[in-house]
Amino acid sequence: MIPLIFYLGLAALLFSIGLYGVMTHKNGIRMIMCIELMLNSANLNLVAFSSYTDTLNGQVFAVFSIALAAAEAAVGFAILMAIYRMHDKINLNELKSLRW
Amino acid sequence: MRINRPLAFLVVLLFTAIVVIGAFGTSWNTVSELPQSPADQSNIEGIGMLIFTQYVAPFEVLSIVLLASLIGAIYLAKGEGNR
Repeated sequence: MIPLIFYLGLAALLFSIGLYGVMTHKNGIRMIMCIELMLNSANLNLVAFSSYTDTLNGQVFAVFSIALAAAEAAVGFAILMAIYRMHDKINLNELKSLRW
Repeated sequence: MRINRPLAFLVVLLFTAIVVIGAFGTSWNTVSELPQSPADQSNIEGIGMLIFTQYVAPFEVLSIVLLASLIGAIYLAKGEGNR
């Protein structure tokens, strides 16, 4: 029986690692991976609270959230591939325009 | 555009401190003891019942969203022409 606060601390740590990665990395793929880390920390919070309130609504919401994260990752990687095909670079700090 | 790593670390540390203090300083009114006999309740069965009774509209909307994202990802990744 693990206390609830351990789950919350782990989720806060995961979210902080993801936030640090988003703020410091320049590579687009790494940034998308860190965004997925933050989404999964939010899902961990949802499942922990769902388990500790003895209901199942949080787990259903976590399933929806995971599906949305999958869709978002697919579109994000597709956009990165299009950017790489147009500009031959993935470094997101060097992309200074949205021009064709 | 340079990346200021110590500033980012400071911001993340501040965020972590705020979240952890908020989480530890709140008295969550949850159940203190989980039911220790998981044999009498199936999680997957309950989630399936809940998805197809209470959350059926978000399920349908999510199916449309997944289909749209799949089509859009294929369209973006395929490129312009050159079949």
